[in-house]
Amino acid sequence: MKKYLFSGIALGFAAALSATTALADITIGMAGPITGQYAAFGEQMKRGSEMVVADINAAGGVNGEQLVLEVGDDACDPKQAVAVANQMVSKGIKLMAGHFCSGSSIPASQVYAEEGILQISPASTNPVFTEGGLWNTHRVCGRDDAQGIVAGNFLAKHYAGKKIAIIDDKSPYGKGLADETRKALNAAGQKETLNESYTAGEKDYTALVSKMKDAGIDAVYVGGYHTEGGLILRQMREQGMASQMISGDAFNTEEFWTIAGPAGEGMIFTFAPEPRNNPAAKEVVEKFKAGGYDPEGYTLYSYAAIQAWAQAATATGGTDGKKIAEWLRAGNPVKTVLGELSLNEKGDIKDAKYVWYKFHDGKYTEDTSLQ
Amino acid sequence: MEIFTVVPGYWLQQAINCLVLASFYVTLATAYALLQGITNRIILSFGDFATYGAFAAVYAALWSLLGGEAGIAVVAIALFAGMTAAAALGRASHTLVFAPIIRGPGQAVMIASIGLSIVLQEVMRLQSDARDQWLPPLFSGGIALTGGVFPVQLGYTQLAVIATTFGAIAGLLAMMRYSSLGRLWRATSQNALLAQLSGVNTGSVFQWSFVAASVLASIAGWAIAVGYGGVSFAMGLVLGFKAMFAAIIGGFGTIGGAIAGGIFLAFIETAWTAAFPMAYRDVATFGIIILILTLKPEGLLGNGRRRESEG
Repeated sequence: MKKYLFSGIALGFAAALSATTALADITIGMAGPITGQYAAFGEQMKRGSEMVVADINAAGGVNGEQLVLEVGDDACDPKQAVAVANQMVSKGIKLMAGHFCSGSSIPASQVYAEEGILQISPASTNPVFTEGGLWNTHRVCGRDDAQGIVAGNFLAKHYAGKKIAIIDDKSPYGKGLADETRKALNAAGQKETLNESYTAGEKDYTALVSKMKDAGIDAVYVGGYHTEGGLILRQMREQGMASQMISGDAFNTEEFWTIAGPAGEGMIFTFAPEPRNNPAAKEVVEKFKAGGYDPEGYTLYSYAAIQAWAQAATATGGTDGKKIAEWLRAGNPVKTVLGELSLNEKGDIKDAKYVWYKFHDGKYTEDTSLQ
Repeated sequence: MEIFTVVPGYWLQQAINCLVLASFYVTLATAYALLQGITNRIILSFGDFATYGAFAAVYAALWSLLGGEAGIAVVAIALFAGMTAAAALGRASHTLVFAPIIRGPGQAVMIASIGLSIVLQEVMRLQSDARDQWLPPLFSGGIALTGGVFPVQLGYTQLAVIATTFGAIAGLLAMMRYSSLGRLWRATSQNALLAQLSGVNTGSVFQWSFVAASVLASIAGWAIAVGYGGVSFAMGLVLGFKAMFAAIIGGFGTIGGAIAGGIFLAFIETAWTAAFPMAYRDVATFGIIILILTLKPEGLLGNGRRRESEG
């Protein structure tokens, strides 16, 4: 009797499983820092991915099949990223639209590569991600070597003969960006005064701040995220240090202002031209705003990553990762909310541009006067 | 010549930075020592007690800001809220968790305290949506102590943090020396069994020590929330470990040792960053800690006496 009971339960489970697979035609994944200190970015990615999946499904899905989104949380921790990647593999995803931090995307990409899963990161800018020679790595954002050139040249031009400090958080993103900026600055014939690395996740950076103050630093370039950057800037102002803080794309969240407060006034950073102003995104931005959310930072990049994959899957007539990768890397143009994009043979977007943004009164906007 | 004008100001500023950092380590290390001194057991949860106090402080501060309070009033309300919340938590965990097992094996106590830490951390993670909670700067600005090439600044929040934490420590030391409670604690610390035979209610000493340690931890948490403006659910782990290292290198189980250890740890961290590349700070700090422990296993101020209760 017991045996029959168990078989019955087993059959029941099997039926339930097959029912869900029948509903879930194509599963795609998104992973990022849903929790932890960079959770502001995780929310951007989650909102962008959820919206694009809903929109694609409403328009009939991909090759007639509906999409189901699985969300993973790596908290920007490389070890957790690999665990999430394995979890995502077991869920049978066909696309990974993530991760956020370069330090997560790079180790996770090997798991996806072995399992035949295509990866399109909306936000990982470290060059190593696509330089590793894997077939599956793609991104719809720029690279830190491009970003670093813009920042390095800016520093060389506006702070010629002045004292510059370059600090980083030792993460693949932060250190990578700081290295590229230093390279560009040195190539322009200027040497930085101070190089330092700090540990992310701490609260007290006053010893570092005093050191920069002692060195008479005029401009501080930060290779790191907005949480530590905000704290460092706040502690700089508290010690009466008026130097300019300059950083990269990981500052594109208004959460920076809640950390730095009024000390954040005038902070500048590089990012791609404001995606919310792109005519291609007008309709989607209005839809987000109608839902009470301003799609800042990487929200639209997550939207675009999944859009790009959906078009490639439609063009290749299936969800085979390798075929889609070939199609994307052949430079076929895709229409996204970021405008028309095409990728090169490495999986990077062609002609990535970086422009300057400035924080003013709690908001950041593109500032064309900065060149 | 310029060197001589620059250097004193720079080092004075770094000394202030060191004092602020020391105020966290000292209060937390003292919390460990208060309990270790009488039970000879390591209770690891105080980093998370500090985080818990910090969350209470941040929420109280945000709430009182909404109510139109400002500046010093907010800071005081936050401190009071943090201390009250932590005292209640300390009392509850004493009664429910530690009082029944404290005479059991050391491992059981330590594992129970790690369990309690994880429970607290998870509750705070769920409750805070896994986000850091940030306060707006409460009062910016400060006092310019010196002018010249390197103007030394003492921020008002730094001043409040240093004054409150060292005030609390001074109060505790005075209590330990002059009050009858302090005498009972010292008697229990020297020989728990003999103290009990002489009529000391060691259970009640343990209870109020636990509450006092929780309140001390919450002051450290408040200092982080107010001094740096933010609290995150996971910060207790690193903080608690560092404070425990401070208590150990100072001389475990003595309050003077905990204070010395806290200041010493803050001093190495700050001095290293001030003079050498910050990237190697943790390597240097923990290298020095290991070195001290190999040379002097009982810690800087440890008396090396084995207690009867070690068994």
